[in-house]
Amino acid sequence: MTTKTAWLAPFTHPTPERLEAWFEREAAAGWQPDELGDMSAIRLRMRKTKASQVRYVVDPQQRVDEDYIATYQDAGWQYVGELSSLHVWRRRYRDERPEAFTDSASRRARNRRLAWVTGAVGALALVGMVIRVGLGVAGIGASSEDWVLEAGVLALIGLPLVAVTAVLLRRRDAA
Amino acid sequence: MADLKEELSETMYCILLSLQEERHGYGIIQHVTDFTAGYVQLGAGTVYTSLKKLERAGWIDRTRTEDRRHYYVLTERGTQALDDQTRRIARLHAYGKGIA
Repeated sequence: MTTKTAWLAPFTHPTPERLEAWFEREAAAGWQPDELGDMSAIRLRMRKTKASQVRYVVDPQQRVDEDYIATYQDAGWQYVGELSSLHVWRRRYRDERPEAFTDSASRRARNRRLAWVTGAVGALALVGMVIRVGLGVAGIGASSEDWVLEAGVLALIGLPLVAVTAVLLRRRDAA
Repeated sequence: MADLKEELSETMYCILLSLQEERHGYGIIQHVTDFTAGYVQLGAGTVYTSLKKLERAGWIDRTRTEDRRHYYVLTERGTQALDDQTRRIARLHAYGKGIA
């Protein structure tokens, strides 16, 4: 079985639409994700299959119940798995590309759900960066000489997440 | 409770119409497709999101769960909202006919 690894897929394709488009390009090239697990957001295993036209849907949901799964499955969607609270669905099609979100209100709500997560994590990372810079400049803490590196890592995490949040919120307004 | 009247879309209106009788998510999708002759086709994500919103607003109630599926029906508040919307749409239609 031929496989390949996609690293940090939800981060390199940070909005639902971009991640869906990436999955669909991969499917058209004959690559499908294996079963998704806890580490798949970081290391996603893809296996070579027959190239096919597949619609992917990414639905950010913190908590889902059986009714959520049943509603999608009844409507013909196959559950792929969860990527850090992003529930991934797929469906093969021939003619019209199927949609799971068919009105602007539910698309806005989807972006809002994801924006809450990216905004909260991004803001926490930036607050952590500010605190680390403050402690470093004041020379407080056992490893105070490492503050530039640690603050830099927090900025690298926080700034892209805040940028993604801004994109999602702009789309929410425009949808 | 959130007030949905301001943002009652075609999707929400169709879901409310469908929930005059007890139905589950996919049952709503099928029923709406039927009574709109395929003009309105609801996606699973939209229906799930909308049902949660309507339930939070107190317009629908969960009646039972069977084979993993939640069944919903309109509450009194939801029925009132549906009647209000239907009257509003009829009024707008009458205005349009009067001018056209």
